[in-house]
Amino acid sequence: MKTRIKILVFIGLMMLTTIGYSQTGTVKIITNPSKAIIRLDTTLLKSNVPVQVKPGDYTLKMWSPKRRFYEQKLTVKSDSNIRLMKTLTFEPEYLKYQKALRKYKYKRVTRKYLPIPIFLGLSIYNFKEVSKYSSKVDENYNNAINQQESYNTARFLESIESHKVSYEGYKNAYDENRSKLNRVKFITYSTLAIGTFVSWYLLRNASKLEKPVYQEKTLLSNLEFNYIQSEGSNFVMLTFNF
Amino acid sequence: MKRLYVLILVSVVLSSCSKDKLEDIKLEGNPHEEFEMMVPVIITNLHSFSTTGSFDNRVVINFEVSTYYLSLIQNRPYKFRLYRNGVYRTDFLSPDGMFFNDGVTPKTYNYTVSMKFTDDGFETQQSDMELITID
Repeated sequence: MKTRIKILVFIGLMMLTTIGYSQTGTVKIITNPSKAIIRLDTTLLKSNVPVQVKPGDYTLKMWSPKRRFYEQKLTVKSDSNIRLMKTLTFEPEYLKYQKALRKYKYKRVTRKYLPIPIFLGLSIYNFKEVSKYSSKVDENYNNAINQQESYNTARFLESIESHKVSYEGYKNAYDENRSKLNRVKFITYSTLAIGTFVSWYLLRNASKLEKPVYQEKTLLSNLEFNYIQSEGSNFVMLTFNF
Repeated sequence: MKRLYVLILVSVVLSSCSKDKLEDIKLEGNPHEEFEMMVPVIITNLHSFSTTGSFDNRVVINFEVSTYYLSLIQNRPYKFRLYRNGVYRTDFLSPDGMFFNDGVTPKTYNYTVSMKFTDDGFETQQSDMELITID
């Protein structure tokens, strides 16, 4: 009989102990970004790390730099296991800033770094074309002059006719290449002049561009205060973790 | 400032255009294109050789006749006249592989050929001379 009473008392004690331990709930918050600041009332939580809290109503706050602040009510019950996943979206102002920054970079590159190489490349190409047509013009000119001299001194009829045809051929080639040369020269000098003007204008314009600035607001602190009372002394120490 | 810039641009572009240097250079007309002055024959080959045991030198001469000239004279009868150092030497009827024993002594000679019409006796201008050295 005594043994039975002892067993019952033991079971009763065990049950009481178990009941005492299960007076908490588990909260596990997973955030994106993982370094977001998470507070359950005043308790600082870490993403993907479960914590035991007493049953009750809590306010869950989450925030990360450049992200929207998030807040919600959370009721924790005994033995409950709350698992919450949340992606903090970017702040509209930050998105606006990013858009403005992209626009600024695009404008800066297109006005400061692109025009000069483009116009320089075009000018180099055009100068090569000028040189090409210039040498063709000279070559055809010299050939035409040679053929003219040969025509003047030729006596045999076929030779006269041959030099005449050659002269006309070189003259036509000369005219054609001279016309091309003039066109290329016009394009080259126009490109050079317009390119210089446009590059200078855009460069001046680029220097006036203002880089957008993003003013960050801290909406949730990650400071953690620790209250320490020194034993045997008359002071308390308040520390915080960064 | 902008007007000055445009002015400079226009001047540079205009001055950059190359002038037509051949504009005033034209074929004025070769006198040999006139019928009386035409040279219808050209010597294309001239060489000599001697035969063993003979002191004579043989000269081979080939020439060609302008097809344009032949089209002009149509079917008029003609013959070729050979000149050596400007002196008439002999007549030929054909320009193909002409071969003759000239019997020259070692020296440098020049040869020319002309055409002579047998109907009216008109003789064309002589061809360009070709030189040959006989050993």
